[in-house]
Amino acid sequence: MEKEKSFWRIAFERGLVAGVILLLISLIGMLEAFKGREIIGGLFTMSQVLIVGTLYLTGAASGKLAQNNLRQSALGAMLTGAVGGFTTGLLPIIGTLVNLRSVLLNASPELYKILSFGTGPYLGLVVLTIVGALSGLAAVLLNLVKGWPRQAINNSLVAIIMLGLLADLFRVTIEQWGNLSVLLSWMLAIKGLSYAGVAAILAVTFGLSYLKGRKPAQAGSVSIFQQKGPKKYAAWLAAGIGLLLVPPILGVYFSEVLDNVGIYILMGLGMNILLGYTGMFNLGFVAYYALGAYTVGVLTSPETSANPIPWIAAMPVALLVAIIAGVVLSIPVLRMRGDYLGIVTLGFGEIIRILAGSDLLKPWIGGANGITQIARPGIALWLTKAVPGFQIQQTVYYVILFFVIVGIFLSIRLRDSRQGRAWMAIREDEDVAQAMGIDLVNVKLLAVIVSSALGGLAGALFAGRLSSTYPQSYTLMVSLNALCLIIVGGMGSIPGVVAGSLALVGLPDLLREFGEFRMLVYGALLVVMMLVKPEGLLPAEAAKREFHTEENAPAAAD
Amino acid sequence: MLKNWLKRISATDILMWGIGLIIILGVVWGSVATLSSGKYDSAAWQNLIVTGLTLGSIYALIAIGYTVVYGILRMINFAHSEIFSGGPLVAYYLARALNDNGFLAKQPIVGLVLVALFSMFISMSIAFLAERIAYRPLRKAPRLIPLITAIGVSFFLLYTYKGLFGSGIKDYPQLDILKGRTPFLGMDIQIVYIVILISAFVLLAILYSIVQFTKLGKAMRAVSEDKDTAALMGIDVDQIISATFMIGGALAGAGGFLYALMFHQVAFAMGFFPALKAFTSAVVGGIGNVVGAMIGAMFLGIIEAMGPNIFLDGLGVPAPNQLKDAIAFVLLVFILIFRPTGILGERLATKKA
Repeated sequence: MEKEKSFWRIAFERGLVAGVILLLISLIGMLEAFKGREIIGGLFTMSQVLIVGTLYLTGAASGKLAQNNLRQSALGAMLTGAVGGFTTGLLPIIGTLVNLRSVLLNASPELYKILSFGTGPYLGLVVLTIVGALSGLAAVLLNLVKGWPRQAINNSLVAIIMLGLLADLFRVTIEQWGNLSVLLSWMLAIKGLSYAGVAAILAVTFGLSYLKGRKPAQAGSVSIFQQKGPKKYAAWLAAGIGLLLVPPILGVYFSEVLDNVGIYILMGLGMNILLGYTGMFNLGFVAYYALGAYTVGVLTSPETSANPIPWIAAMPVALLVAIIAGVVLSIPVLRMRGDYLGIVTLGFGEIIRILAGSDLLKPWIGGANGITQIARPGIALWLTKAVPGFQIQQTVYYVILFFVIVGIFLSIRLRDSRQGRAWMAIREDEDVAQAMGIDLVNVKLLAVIVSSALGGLAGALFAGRLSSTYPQSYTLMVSLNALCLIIVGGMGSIPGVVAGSLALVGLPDLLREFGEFRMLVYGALLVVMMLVKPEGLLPAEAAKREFHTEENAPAAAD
Repeated sequence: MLKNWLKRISATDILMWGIGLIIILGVVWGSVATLSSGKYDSAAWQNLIVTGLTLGSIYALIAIGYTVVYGILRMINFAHSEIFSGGPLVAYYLARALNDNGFLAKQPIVGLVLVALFSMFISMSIAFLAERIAYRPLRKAPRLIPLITAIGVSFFLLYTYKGLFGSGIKDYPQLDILKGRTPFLGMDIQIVYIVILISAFVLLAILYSIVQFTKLGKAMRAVSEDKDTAALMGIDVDQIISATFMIGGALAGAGGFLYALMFHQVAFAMGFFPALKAFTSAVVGGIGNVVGAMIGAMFLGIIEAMGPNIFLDGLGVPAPNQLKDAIAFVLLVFILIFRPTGILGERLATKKA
């Protein structure tokens, strides 16, 4: 009896949580921003996906509490959904009675319309409550489906939402294929996906899941890239060719986004060496990035240099400057504890930005006006001329791809070297590492050198890609972005860096509406990741063990 | 003796001392140049010092939050900047409402106190919720994890404010009784500054007596000394930590309100620099030490108010006030190099936790 009571209470509280989350995303303007994104043309929009999705997920969480008892589980999930829907539904009513808009900017009639599914505030309350209860019920019922159909439903939902969100870009991309666009254009409605497209996605995901589910589980989860024999080489070759073909197939916009992703992968790799391997916290990573960009700018732009040199000659100088700055700035703080290091490096990053924008250095680096006419990488310019129809964004992609591969190779080799093991020993316990004969200062300095070089390289590529550089580009956000992507990907994990960059830099670039809420979502992601999965989504082997053992716990206490 | 000393010293020490020496030389050179030029008369000096003290007293209110939390959890509460800005940002709407219906003009003192209390309450609630939701589950996690969480909380709050209230700058209503100047202790000072200084000092005195003379303060000190033993003595550690966050939050909210009085405006991103400087003050004074944080904050306030005009101007730097924000960071680095313990602190910066 006692237990049952507490279950209903938990379900009720979860409903309130769902309501608060929904109210928050409504009031910060997220729902309204996504109202124009139709997932399936004419049927529903991303805003509705957000509402139903939140209620569905919290309902599912409540339902899981009483897994053995189907009736109880379904009722609990419905209660959670209904409470969430009801709480949210109160907003339009309050909003029509009181003028909320003078305080909360986004509490607009348009928002109330979205929240009540176009039915008006009072009926909307009922509708939302019912929608909530049904979402909870659906969550529990779907949970009953097991095996490959379950997998297929999940995959198709994700695929439909992703493709629907990106439908506009999808259209632009296939339009540039010329006559070939007929092949895929039937999948799109005027806005969002067409019914035929949805049917096709469903067919593909169900087909694939069926085939996969029928085969007996073999060889565990070893991916094809790690298997032995010719299969592995074939897979790598295919991946390589795929990467090379991206710019001509996907077009200018995707290439530009991927350029950005590549630059952040380089920064993430640098940050990963500091935080992931050595355990040094650096919030001033943007300093190296800025120095790399400004060095290239100063040396190659005719505005700042009497005899400008090409990009490829300026790039090594940029690396050198970033390394020197990294070493000089790090020496005073190498003996600090992790969190102090974070604040001090944050200070360095800000000093660099303030100096870059100040009048003090204006004669040399342009002050608030920045530097323009920076040289682009020569090979990219040559390719742009050599291949008709290629834009600079598409050719710079190859340059960035080259350096990303070099950076990944370097990271892997360093990780597996004696140095790498010394780094990880320091991360685990500085005192023990020192007792084992590791020279803390030298080994940490090497980590700083490598990571600042990677940061400087990212900056050099950034300046060369845009051909201009302004002090406003080097805010704390850049460091935070790099931090966030390795946390989400997994500290110390190289695939994690790549996946993190794709997800956290690539996706927001593709979704214009999302840009505004990017930092908010990053903040929430950092908290949620730390609470739920501190080792990241693609964790390195060691981190999996490290974050879930008790032995490391007392470190925080003292 | 000298030989031993030479043996212990390393290349990094020499470099550090070199950097320090360059900074000192620069400061001395610049100050001498300005002072000998006789650019400022005594009234101008007074103004700079009073401005510095006023700023410093606001930094002190914020710095308390950093230092008490650090003292207990050994954690830098990165989100404190948003705890600081949340109070005045929300209280702005109360101030505006009171101003619009004329209450603030009729009863200015009651009105101001109401707005200040509201600001403190909001900041306190944000601090309480942040601790409850984000930090408490991570009490036993490796030390980097709470720090990253705090950064996440900070950005989540920052952009929530932006989403809820917009990114525009909001002008706090200005009251007639706070305008103008008045003689005070033989000096001619702006009334707002006097109000800010006095209220900050009263709040700091209240805080000091709470920490030193009440049962709660005793429990706080016990928990910061040793959590496990404190728990054995019958202290509810979680409750004390919550109380610590709330006290820090309330003071930050008061600081935020005074900051809004001083600059007449609030914005969603206003917390970043004041909070970083407050953190610097806490480190300068010796983090974990309440009195140290107050002294450090006054010191930083004065340096920041006078610095650009004295030594940067003397060095011939154009537009020295652009570099005002960088001074705090330079001071932070300087302190961490030469006296990581701060003015009054014990040695915590290196490897206690």
